[in-house]
Amino acid sequence: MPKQIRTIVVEDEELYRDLLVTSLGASAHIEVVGSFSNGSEALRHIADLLPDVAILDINLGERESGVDVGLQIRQLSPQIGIVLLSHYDQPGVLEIIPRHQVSGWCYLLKGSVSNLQVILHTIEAASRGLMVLDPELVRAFEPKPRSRVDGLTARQREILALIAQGYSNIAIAQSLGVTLKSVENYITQLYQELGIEANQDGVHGRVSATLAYLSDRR
Amino acid sequence: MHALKVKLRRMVQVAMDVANLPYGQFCQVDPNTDTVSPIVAISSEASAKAVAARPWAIAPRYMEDIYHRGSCFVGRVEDLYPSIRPPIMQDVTKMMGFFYVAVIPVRSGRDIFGAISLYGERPVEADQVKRIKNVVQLAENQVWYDRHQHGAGKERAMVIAEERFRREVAEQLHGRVQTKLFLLENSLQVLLNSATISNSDAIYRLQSIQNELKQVRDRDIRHLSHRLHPGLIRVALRPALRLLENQFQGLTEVHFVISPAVAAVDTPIENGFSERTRLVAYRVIEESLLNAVRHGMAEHVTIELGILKGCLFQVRVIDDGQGFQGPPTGLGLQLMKSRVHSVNGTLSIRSSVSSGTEVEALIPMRTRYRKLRRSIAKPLQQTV
Repeated sequence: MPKQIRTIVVEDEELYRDLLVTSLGASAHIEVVGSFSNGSEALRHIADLLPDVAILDINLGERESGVDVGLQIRQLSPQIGIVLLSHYDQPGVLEIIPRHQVSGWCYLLKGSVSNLQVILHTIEAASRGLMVLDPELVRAFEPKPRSRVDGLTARQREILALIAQGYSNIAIAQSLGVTLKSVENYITQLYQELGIEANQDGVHGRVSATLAYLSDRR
Repeated sequence: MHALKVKLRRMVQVAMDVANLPYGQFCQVDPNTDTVSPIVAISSEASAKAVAARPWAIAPRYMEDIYHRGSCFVGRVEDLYPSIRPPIMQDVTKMMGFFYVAVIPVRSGRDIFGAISLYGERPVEADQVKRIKNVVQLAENQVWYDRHQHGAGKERAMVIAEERFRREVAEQLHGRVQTKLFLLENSLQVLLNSATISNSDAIYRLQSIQNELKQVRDRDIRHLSHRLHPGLIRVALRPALRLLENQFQGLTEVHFVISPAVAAVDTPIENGFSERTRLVAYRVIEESLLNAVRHGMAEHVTIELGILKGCLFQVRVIDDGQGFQGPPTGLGLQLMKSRVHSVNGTLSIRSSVSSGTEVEALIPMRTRYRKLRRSIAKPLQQTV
């Protein structure tokens, strides 16, 4: 059995926190090692719990935001994946994460809590240092006019949307009904169009591609 | 006022000490009687009683000179207070032990707030007057600070209270209400997934209800919550402005010009702008956009964010709408002014018919970020 992903949940809404922990408990791949109503408490326990991923509500009440808490968690342990949760589509917040820390930050809508596949997929992506967006956000995506993404072909935009959702090359090939080799070529061209490199300043090309997708979003 | 009186008393005491004069007062004009009343009197017990007994009428020309033009008086007590006639004068001065006085006005902005008067047995010399004037300058700073803090403090308190209320309501909507609606949606889904309902009409109705709930949650509550308080402002200004921009999609074209200096400072950790400053900047932009669309019918709005001289956060909103004539009025604009003042900023609005409107807020940044000037000097050269 693949190693379980040790996960903590930080959510100030008790009802929602319980719902999320219950949903995650249904998966054999996830071990919920802690759940907290505020960031300060979570930070106190990070060293003991050693999670792989932290799921954080963006809005943790008057004094805390999930982004702040996530950045502090990263200072304690740079490898921990961060999944930001929100009722609303505000993924633009990922654009202001310092570039050298941006890998492993993901964004999920609270509405997706009932879709275990989506949550699992996002948590796995975060644990692997990818940046992944909720599929609902990607579905509603519209590029800014005259932006880099607006200038892509329909196929390139399709592939970019799948990268932003954390699809692997194999999964992209299956989804589009093309060969793996074709996908690799498409991605190479896509990176060229977006002006990104496969690995720039320690940031994976896929993360850079998702950031480009976000910044050109209307 | 009591706190100010205590400080004024201290000033008078200091003035007496530096000028080596035995008696001092701080006086203000009573506009009803056009006489001068001592607010503070320091000396022997006898003289304090004597002065406190009743206000004295200053010679009219000196009243005008001192309390309206801000001139000093240095001379004899009987010249300043002609209403005090001998033998009363002799009794009073004998009792008080002073014959000569120096009166130095204390300004508050353009107004004369009052005057420090110091008395002694001998004529007050120029050197003594100079020393008293130094103390008066301190008193003027104190008076100005007290008056403005008192006024500005109320304004600030009101703005803070309003924003706190908005945030609390927005958080309830965003948090508890959203979660409850979401759970209701979920419950409906569980019901639809179960085999208990087979009637297609019932299924259709339940699905409609579910969709309505989703709309209320996704669109209506979200919109309300954002209008009340932009939650992301807690993180940084730019992501909150991105969402604001989305709200105006289709209504007007919004273009942001954000200087590298602002981008360097507006970071999620140790943001160079306080949350209050970020919120004020957001509100200025939000209100300006609303006015540009509602009243100006603007097709394009440009929002510029920059840092001037390493310490002033500049927010400019320029639209190509129909503009307006005369001074800006309206509750929204007044609220905008109050908000900017609450963070010690200034707001200016320039508009003319058919030439659009420009709103500019200048907000002082937190002191320590002035020290970052060196590290952001290069980007500053590109600042608008």
